[in-house]
Amino acid sequence: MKTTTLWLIDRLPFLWRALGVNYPQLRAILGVKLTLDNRRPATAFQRWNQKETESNYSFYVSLGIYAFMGIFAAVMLALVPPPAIVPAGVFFFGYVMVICALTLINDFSSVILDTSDNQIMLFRPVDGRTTLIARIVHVVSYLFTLTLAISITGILVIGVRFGVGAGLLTLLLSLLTAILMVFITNVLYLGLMQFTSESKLRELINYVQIITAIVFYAGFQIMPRLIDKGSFAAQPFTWTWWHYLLPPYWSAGSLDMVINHRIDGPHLLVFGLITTMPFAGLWLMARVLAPAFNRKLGGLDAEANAPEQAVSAKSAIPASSLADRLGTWLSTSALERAAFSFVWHISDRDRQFKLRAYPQLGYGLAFVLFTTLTRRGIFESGSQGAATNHLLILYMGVLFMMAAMSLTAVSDQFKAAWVYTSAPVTRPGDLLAGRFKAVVVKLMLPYYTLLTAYVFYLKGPGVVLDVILAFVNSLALLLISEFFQKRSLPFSASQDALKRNMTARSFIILPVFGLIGFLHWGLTTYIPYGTIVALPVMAGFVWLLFRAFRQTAWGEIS
Amino acid sequence: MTPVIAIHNLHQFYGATEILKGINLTVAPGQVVGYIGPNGAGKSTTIKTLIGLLPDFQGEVSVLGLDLRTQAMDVKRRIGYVPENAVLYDLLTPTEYLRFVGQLYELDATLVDKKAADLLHLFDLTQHANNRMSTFSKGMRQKVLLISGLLHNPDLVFLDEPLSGLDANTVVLVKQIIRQLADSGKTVFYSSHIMDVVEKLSDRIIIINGGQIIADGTFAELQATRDTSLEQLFGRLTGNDTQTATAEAFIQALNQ
Repeated sequence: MKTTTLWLIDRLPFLWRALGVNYPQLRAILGVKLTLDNRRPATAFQRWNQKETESNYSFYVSLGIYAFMGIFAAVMLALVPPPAIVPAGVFFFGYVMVICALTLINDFSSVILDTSDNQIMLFRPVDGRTTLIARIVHVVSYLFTLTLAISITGILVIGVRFGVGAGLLTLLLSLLTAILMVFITNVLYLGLMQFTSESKLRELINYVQIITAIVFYAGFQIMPRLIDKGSFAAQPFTWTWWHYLLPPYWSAGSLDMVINHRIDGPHLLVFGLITTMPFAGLWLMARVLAPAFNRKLGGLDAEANAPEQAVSAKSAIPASSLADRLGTWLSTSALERAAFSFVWHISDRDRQFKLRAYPQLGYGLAFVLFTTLTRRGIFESGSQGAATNHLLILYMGVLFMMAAMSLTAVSDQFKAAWVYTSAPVTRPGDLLAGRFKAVVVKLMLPYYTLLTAYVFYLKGPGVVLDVILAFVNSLALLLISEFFQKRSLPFSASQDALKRNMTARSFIILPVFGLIGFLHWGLTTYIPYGTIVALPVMAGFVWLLFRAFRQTAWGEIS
Repeated sequence: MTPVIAIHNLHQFYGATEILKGINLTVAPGQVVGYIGPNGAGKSTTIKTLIGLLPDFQGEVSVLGLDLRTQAMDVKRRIGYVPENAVLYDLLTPTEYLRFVGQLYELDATLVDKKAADLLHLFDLTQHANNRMSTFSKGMRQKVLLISGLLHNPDLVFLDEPLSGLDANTVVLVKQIIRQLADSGKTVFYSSHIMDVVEKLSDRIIIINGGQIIADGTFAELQATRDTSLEQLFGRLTGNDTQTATAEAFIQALNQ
């Protein structure tokens, strides 16, 4: 990764000159950043004496997943007749674009908006342009690899069908799309920085990230439906004005131009757009936006360090909040109450938590919505296919709850967890119980309410027993999944610990999850009054599980 | 002689909060200036403004005879800064980090390697020179930070709490380094909370409170009004000389 990137940027001196970047400094910064990336996860693995090469393991896993998803994007490229390459291309490049945008927003926003560099580099003679471009090249180096993984199938398909030249063009177009997305996300962030008060910016970016992620996901689900089936007929694509506004059409049009030898006004225009816009964007970022961007970032940092201009409290005794009142009401011990309020407050305030948890829930809702919409389209109405649907919807929720639950165990400030061990805590299980209750009340209840509303909308209120049983079973599943892993006190583990845990645990829990869902389905379908009988049994089971969970001793906690 | 630092009517804001409320200050070369004040008085803000981290200030500031607004990059090239909270890329080794810093100043690579090795040796870090800094103690990091701030041989050095985390021997060493830097004609501008160090080391002491300079002079001059230690003087000037009473109240609150 490091050598390839540095080799590539060594080949582009003209680009750096055009952007007005100090090249030796750019190279130094990039070299250090890539070295840091190679070493970062390694520190977490040192305890197991694993080799450094394994630190990139998760990156390669995600590359594999991206490549796998890329296969679906390329299916249409393989099937359509050559004249109808544009809609297939739009789908393919749209897919690349969406994945790039999602990755940038979810994974790389912290790199783009990194302020930790400020304290190391801002007072040294490095200009803002160089630091911004270094940051962008850093992001792009990863994004290119991911883009390559997504588009490799498409590139091969095009290459085999239409020759190597067309395949290479597809590669080029995919990479250009990636650069364009970097530009668009940067402009988005800068725009936000211009129009909002700086103190609220981080919060706002957080929400924008969540919303954009959901919108992009939803958009991607809808996109295939937007494409008119008729346009697959073997007739030339007709251009309308709004096609010129959407980058996937630029790439698809360029592909059309080369494959079908259609060299005319619209095709040359879109080809011009896709080849110039990414670089124009880079130039604009370096020449025009960089100073503003860095000043704003510096401001972010200063703001964070500024003396808190809090509402001057009359007394240091905190006002009783909703969390405290709920905690008092729902908890049986002081420790439990402490964990309850703690999880409640941190999940409100921790940017990282919100950024990790809420998009999950959003995806969950979007997933439910769109899969059921598609199903309904296929099975028309009231058929067998729709009958099992509401159980699927309800149980899907557990997956997202499990993710949210694990997130309440991790924190960037996990080292602060020394307070648990220095305090005379004899029953750590109470802390776990408080954490569990907070997640159930704060995240799971509202989420299930939404799901229930949707299920009622689909099936009518007759399925209320199913809803309740599914909720109780979900509680059981959540507890079981906690038993299958190292139990952690609230916000006491590092993010790496979560990643290690995740894969293995899903393998164990998924069969259980499937079994319970299947049994529920069997009960509803074949046994009269089965649900009513199962309900108290499962409720008792949950109570037993919870009691055991609460009795967790220090030895069982990681 | 042109002053090394010339500040005229400096105002600095964080959002709507005014942190610096009109600072006026001139520093001549070859001085060790101790800049002290209670938490939140504006010490770090002054230093961050002077090194060009906070470009949105009001007033006139020139550093090393260069206008900070228009020639910030030239200023940065000739000043050194050691920040208060030791932030560095601790996954790098000291050698790698110092080489990186050298590249940012566009210094000759072989010279930087040689210099870094010598300086690390003088700070007793030779055997750790190729270990990652993530395992370092706070004092060891502080040593690397000091080197990284001085590596390019700056004419003006800003030190924010330079002695924090250092062991007793290194404190003596760093104090000597500060003294000798000033004797060789360089200027050292540093902030600290440790009053007896400031008292002994500084040619000039500046006390800031609530964003304004409230005292400025040699220790002897500040002392002239009443014969007392800098600690007591500081407490009186910053309106906080009731520590004994507060300590009693603190103990009482604990016993509730």
